[in-house]
Formats: sequence, C-alpha cells, structure tokens
Amino acid sequence: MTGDGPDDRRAPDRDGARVVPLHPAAPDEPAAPTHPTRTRRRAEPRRAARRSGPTPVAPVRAVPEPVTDEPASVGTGADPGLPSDWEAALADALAFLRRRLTGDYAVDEFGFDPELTERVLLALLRPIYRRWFRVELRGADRIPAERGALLVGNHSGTLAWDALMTQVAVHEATDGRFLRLLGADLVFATPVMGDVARRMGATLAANSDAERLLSSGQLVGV
Amino acid sequence: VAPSVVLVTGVSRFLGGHLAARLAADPSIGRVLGVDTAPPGPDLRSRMGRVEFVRADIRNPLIAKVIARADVDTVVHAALSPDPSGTWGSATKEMSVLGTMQLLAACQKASTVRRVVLESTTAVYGASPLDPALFDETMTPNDLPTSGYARDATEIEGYLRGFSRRRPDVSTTVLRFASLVGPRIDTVVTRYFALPVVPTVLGYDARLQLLHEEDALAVLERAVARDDLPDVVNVAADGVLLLSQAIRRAGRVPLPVPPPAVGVVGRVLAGARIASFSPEQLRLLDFGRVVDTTRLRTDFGFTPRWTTVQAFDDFVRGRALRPVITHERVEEAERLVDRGVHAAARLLAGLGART
Repeated sequence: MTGDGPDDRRAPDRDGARVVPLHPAAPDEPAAPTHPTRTRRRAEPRRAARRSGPTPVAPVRAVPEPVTDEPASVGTGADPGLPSDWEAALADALAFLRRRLTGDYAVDEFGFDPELTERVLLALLRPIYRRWFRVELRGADRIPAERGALLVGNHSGTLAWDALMTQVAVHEATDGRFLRLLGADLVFATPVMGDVARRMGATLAANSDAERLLSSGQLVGV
Repeated sequence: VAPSVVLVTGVSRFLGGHLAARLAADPSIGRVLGVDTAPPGPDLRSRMGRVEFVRADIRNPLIAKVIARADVDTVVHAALSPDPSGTWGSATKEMSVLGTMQLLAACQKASTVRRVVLESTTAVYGASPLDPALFDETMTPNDLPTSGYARDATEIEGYLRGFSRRRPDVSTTVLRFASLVGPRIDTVVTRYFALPVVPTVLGYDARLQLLHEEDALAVLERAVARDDLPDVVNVAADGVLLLSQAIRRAGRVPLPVPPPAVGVVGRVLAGARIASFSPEQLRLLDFGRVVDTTRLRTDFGFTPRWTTVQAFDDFVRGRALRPVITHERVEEAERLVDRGVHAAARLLAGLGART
C-alpha cells in the first residue's frame, strides 16, 4: 500500500505515474472535496451494520428492505400504466437475445465481453451493491476519465465480493468505464468461474497481462 | 536475393501443396521441388504446374542427394500440419520428428542451402489456467506437454535451433501457426465445427484464435521470398472468438459435456471416424490460447487479411455448412415473441379498462 499521509498523495512518481493513496489519515471523517480517492464499503450485512450503528439509515425496527434512494429498475409487467418506452426496451432485449443466440457479438483478446458485462453481469451485481453492501463511494473523481490507471485495493476473504463491487462502482462513477481485474490462477482453473471472470474482463495476475492492459489505457484493478 | 531452387516438404497436404503451387507461379523462382511420401491428390496436382514432385521419405538419407543434386537453396519444411487430423500416433511422431532430424542433417551437409523455413504451431505454448492472456514469442509454456503433438513441435523447433547454431550462414524462420480454418482446408478444427451437435467441456469456454488458410499461405510465401525475417514468428489472425460463440455463429448446437465424460465422448467420436482429439486439443477446448502478433506485423511485415471472426465465417460459408439453427429462424422467433408480448399487453390493457 502507499503512504498514509494526505500530503504525500501529490508526490509525483519518478516515472510520471501518479500514486493516489486510498487510506487517508482519519478514516471516519467525511471526505473533503480534495480528499484522496476512497472506496469504502460496508463489508458486513445490514444487521451487523445496524448493531455497530452510528450510521443507520433505516429505523431500528424496520423489518422490510430500507427505502432505496435510487429508483429501482422499472417493472416491465404488462400493467396498464406501462412506461412509454417499454416496447423499445422489449425490442432491445429481444435483439440482445438474438445476438447471443447467433454469436453476433465481440470479445477482446482477454475474453472480455463488454455487452454481456454491462447488460447482464453488472445489472445482476447492482442490487447487491446498493441494497446488501450499500457501498459508499468517495473520491471517484480521481479515477482518470480515459487514461490507464492501476487501482489497488486491500481485499480480504476468499470470495472477491469487494472486487466485484469495485467494478460496479467504477462503472457507475466513470460513465461506463470497465475495471479490468487481475485474478489468481485458481479463478481461471475453476469451471464456470473462470469463464465468467474472463467475460467480465478479468485476466490472470501476470506482469505481461497487466502491462498490456495498462499500456492500452485501461483501468486495471488488483 | 530471390530464391532460385526451393524444396517444399509435405506437398500432398494442404499447406505444402498450395505453397508449392504458388511458388511455381512465381517466374523469379527457378525450380520448385515438392517432396512427400504420397503423391498429391488430383485437385492439388492440377494446380501445381511446373512443380517437380519427388516421391521420397524425408527420413531416408536419400533426401540429401535430392538436395545436393538440385542445388536447393531454400527449404520449406511444411510436414508438420498445424492441426493433425487423426490421432497423433507413433507413426506420425516418427515421421515429423525423425523426418525433421534427417532433413536438417541433409541441409547441414548441403553447402547450397542458405534458408530454412519451418512450419510450427502455437501449440508449443501449451494451454493451461496459468497462461497469460497472450503469448509472445519469448514466452515458454507453463506446462510443457510430456508427449504428443505439442511436444513433437517443441522438439522440432529445438532441432532447427541446433541447426542454425551449426550453420550460422543459413537464415532460419519458425512460423508458429494458429489453428487454420478456411473453405478448403481439412483439419480437426474444421471437422469439429462441421458436427451438427458440437460437444464442449461444461463450465469452460475457450478463447479461440484462428488463421485463414490464405493468410497462412501468404505468410509462407513471404518467408520464402525474404531472408531478413525474424527467427520465430507467431502467425495468427486478429481478434478472438469464444468457443460457444463460434458454435453459434456456425448455427451448431453446443452440447456441454461434464469433464469426467469428455474422454468417453472423445472416444465415441474417434471410433465413429468423425473427429479425434488429442489430449492437448481437449485442453485447448478448456482454456484456449491466444498469441501476440506484434512481431508478425512489425518485423515480419505482414498483416493478416482475415480476422478470426471473418476467417471463421468464411469457413462456414465456404463449406456451405447447413446451420441447424439459422439466423432466419432466430429472427422469426424474435418477431413472434415481440408480437406475442404486444398482444398480451393489449389484452391486459383491455381487461384493465373494463374493470
């Protein structure tokens, strides 16, 4: 990890790459506008968070899901009060299915399938991101808008939930940029998981792969 | 300096035969000798024109006499097919490994030889979950195969390195070809995708990188014509297809087979003489393999005309593979569902208005 002081975040690296620390001096202060990038997520489910609770949003006795601040995905049931663009959405979804069935889509050399990631995989992760982990994102403006960057996280646990949540966060915060994760070889040796990981843009944590992604201007996550 | 006498091995196969035919069409080349143990088929022979066919076994030291007598200056060893159709048994191994050994020994003695081009395969990189996404020419495989086709290819490349140490005056180039597809070539890959129901390994979706047969021939032709080319070059098309995607593009039905049953399915297909897979081809179906082609573009100076997707589509069209699932049928189903949902919505809206 990089230095902890907020003052050394501006120290330019010798090679011109800028190191943005993710750990500011005081972890629980609200982020100032100039605060370093910091993706903080509540690692534990809602109940645990409530117990330790200086930050509960929902009332203590609230049993159902807390009200989400974002509108949930629009229900496409055949209600009379349908949203006006449901027909377009249906045609779009069917066209997507058709492209899948006829193999009419593109993947890159790493096996990354942007369309599937954006429309299916990230869409599945987003409710988990909002409602289960209730991720807070700060300092996302420090993520470059088009150049390459290496995002380093301190992640724990065997299931890389934090990596997936960071991927959702980066996609939302950067107007649709994809975080290309570097994974352990075990991921790619596992059936299904290796396949899904490659389709989501992950690749092996090897120097050659990381360098290739960074030099092509991608956001790389470790 | 343009080559004057070229010797091509393996001319009864696709690559060797068509390369010989192309070289024969080039008036700047004096003579083209084609060597193989069996004569080329009638279609190939009709294209070959002035190619002089020499029926010889390269394992036999007699090949040295052929080289010496014709003053051969360029040897293209195209005996190792990039995708062996059929099992890679001991006979093929002997042919390719011992044949290469004898051929290179003959070249070493012949003072006229000044260029050797070897056709190899990207299988030398292996296929494993430890692999980087792309292999470049300097990388070595993570799991060196202990036997079979990839191992033989590695050995053959080793012989050529030894040869170029002993004959530093001879320029050598190893061309590592990706799996070839195209309307005319017949390999284990093309047979595999011609199956109406294509077995895959459940839980894995390999990345495939292919090469169009015409690009392969153009690369071989360039390797013969020039002698200032790199020692080792990956030859593959741009882009990648996922195995499942390729099966769908061909209108085939994928049949995911659980890994323990893969061996049985493989044996059934081999027994029915449909297609047979070597263990490393099965690993390729699990993990796939993609190579970096920067050196091909820059140092070698060749850009493939077909991308992987275009090459595959050309193969599907050229073979006139009748799709089991056609695009039209999928589009029809799409329209049907769309209309159905619209009708249901109108119906429900009508009911809602009545109540």
